[in-house]
Amino acid sequence: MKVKNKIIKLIFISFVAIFPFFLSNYSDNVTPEKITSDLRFYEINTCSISIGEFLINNLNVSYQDHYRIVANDYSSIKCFGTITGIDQINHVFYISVGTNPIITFFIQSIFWLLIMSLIKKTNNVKITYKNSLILFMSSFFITLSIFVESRFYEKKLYFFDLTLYRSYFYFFIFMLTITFFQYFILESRKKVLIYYVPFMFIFMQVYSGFNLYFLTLYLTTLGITKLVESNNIRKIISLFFPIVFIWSYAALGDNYYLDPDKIRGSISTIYNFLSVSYSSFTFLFISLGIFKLFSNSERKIDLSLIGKNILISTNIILILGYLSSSQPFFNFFNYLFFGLTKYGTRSQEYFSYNEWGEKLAWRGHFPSAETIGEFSALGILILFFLFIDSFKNKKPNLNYLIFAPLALFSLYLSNNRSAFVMLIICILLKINNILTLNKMIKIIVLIFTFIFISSIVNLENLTYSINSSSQKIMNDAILYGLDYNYSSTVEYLLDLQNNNLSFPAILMFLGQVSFLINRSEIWAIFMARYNPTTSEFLIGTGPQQLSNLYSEINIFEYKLYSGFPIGFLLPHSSFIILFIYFGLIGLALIFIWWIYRIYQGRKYNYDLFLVNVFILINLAKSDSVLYLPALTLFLIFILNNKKEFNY
Amino acid sequence: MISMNFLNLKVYLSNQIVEQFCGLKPVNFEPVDIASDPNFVFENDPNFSAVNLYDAENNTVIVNSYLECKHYVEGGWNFIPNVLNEVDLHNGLLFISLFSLLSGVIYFYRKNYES
Repeated sequence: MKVKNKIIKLIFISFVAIFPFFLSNYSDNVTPEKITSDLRFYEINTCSISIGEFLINNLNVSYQDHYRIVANDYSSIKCFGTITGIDQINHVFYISVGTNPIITFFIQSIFWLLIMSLIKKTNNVKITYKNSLILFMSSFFITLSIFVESRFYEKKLYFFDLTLYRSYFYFFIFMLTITFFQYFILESRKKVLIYYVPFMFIFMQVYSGFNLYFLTLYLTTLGITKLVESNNIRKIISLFFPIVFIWSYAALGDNYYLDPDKIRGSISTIYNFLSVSYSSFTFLFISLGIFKLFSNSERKIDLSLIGKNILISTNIILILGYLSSSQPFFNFFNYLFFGLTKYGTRSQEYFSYNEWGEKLAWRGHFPSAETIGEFSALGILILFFLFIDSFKNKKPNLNYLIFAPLALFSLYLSNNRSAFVMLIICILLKINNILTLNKMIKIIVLIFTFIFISSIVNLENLTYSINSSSQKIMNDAILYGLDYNYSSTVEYLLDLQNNNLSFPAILMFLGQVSFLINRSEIWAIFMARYNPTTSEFLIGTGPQQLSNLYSEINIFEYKLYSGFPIGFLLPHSSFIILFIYFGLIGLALIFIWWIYRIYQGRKYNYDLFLVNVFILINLAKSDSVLYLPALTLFLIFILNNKKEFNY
Repeated sequence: MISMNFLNLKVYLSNQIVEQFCGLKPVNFEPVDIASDPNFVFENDPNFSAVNLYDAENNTVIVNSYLECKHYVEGGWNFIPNVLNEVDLHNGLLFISLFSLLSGVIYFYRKNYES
């Protein structure tokens, strides 16, 4: 019976994925023509031909790489799944498909809920007045995001007047419907949900046309539940209100906008009083939600299961990335049904190098090559722990070893050298921990490791004078600044330079680190933009707020050394992101809390300690906190402690 | 005299309609006699925001320059689509959502009662 149910669900999942893209008026006399440079037919017959019908008649579009199938969010419901236009730019054809955000919201939700319903139930959930009220509250709260970010949504939601309350009533009911079913489906599987978090790297689950993750609905509901249930948390949270007020007050009168691009769902698109208040509470509910998601797991957390799921995910991501890069149809399909923030890469240059002989990173399915590199390395690291421990316990476990080659290949393609180096260091530390090696062997291993790491990292960087390499970041920051619009950071640096004062030791140290890990230019760009007031420097601008950083100060628009446009370049450090959000005090508190957690892990579980060290070091030079899948997974590892952890 | 005024009025109204659909005439706009050139190809104007035009049968076309827009509008592509349709579809979705929600609540209440 259960197998039959699963088959029915799988058929229904396929139906949800395929059927909407074959909807069109088949009784009219419009039949798709072969695509050529003469596009008059498709200019006249917009919204008349479904993409399915079109692909049947133009099969080459689905696999030839000079075609791009792109989602057109700002389109009518009637145009959903149909061709809304075709453009030719040089030799590339852009086939635009109507993906009305409201219809997509329902289709994506149903698709993901059906997939999640394949997970075995662990408990029953009852409908009560309390949880009904919480669902109302969370739906209302999420609906507010459309109001707060109306500048973003007015370009996405076709024919909704965002100045009318009536429109928000519609959104509220739509949100409530999905939140309701999502709550009951996920809550009845809550004890095992955290093991499925690695699959979020495959299914990012960001709604097309929305600045919203599917999981945000559930985490917000859990967060509000936690707040309602716990007296202690309510008391602690009361300390949060004055900080929210200071953050919001600082944004009073500002109205900076940021196109979220690949970090859609994780940031606020606008910086003003209302959005800062809203995103602060979003952050609060999501954090509490992740905490509750973690505490919902009844059994002790099984690292081996999470590790195996990470490995399986890396393999699937690699295959999906390949399909996405080579087949326009998969590129579009993956974007929509896996809820990606950005289309999978179309680059098929897996082994390419730039003019300076550096390997080009290949991101594949996921929007960030760096994050997927960390994810792959983490899977290999956990696999290694399991492998070693199974031999130690004389029960060799070779299962899942089959997934290791593709995970390693994925790490290679991502060109995340720091993840690779940290992987080697953590493996050596683990070997050192379980084997009692004599000093001589340790020294030999250390020398070989150093030589090996040197061959990966650009060791020629050490040949520059320490003064010039340390100052590079500051000098670059000054060069990126525009003299009519310097940021307060650049003004401070210029002040030091003009008065012949030496740069402070902390900046010199940061400069040296950034130079060695190849971050000096990117962090210099951040410094050229960073224009904090004293309060912003100390307590930040509030969570999810990057709009002011990117809009307040104009900087030189081209890279100093390559001449390429800068575009939307992230700071490439999660610590910098946390520093922008929470300021120096917030970052220090996060560090203290995290290091305390790591210390606990070291005392009781060495593997957990190594995993946390791996994450900590890698976050220093990656933007992973800006992706909800990575943030959730890493928080699960951080939140673990001795009592709850076992494998 | 009367026919001359009528002609002016007709031109004025036609310009008003073009302006309604295509926006204000660009400063450097030069009219082209498209009818005399059977091989005429419209060029995209990067400064012009693409406009969707509709004919009487609700067919739609996207125009990418003021000249193209003017040509289509004057050729009869000057119908405003049945906007009620979109609102009707929103209402339909609202109804389906409320129905699903109510069914879900009843289903889970019954499950509560049974257990």
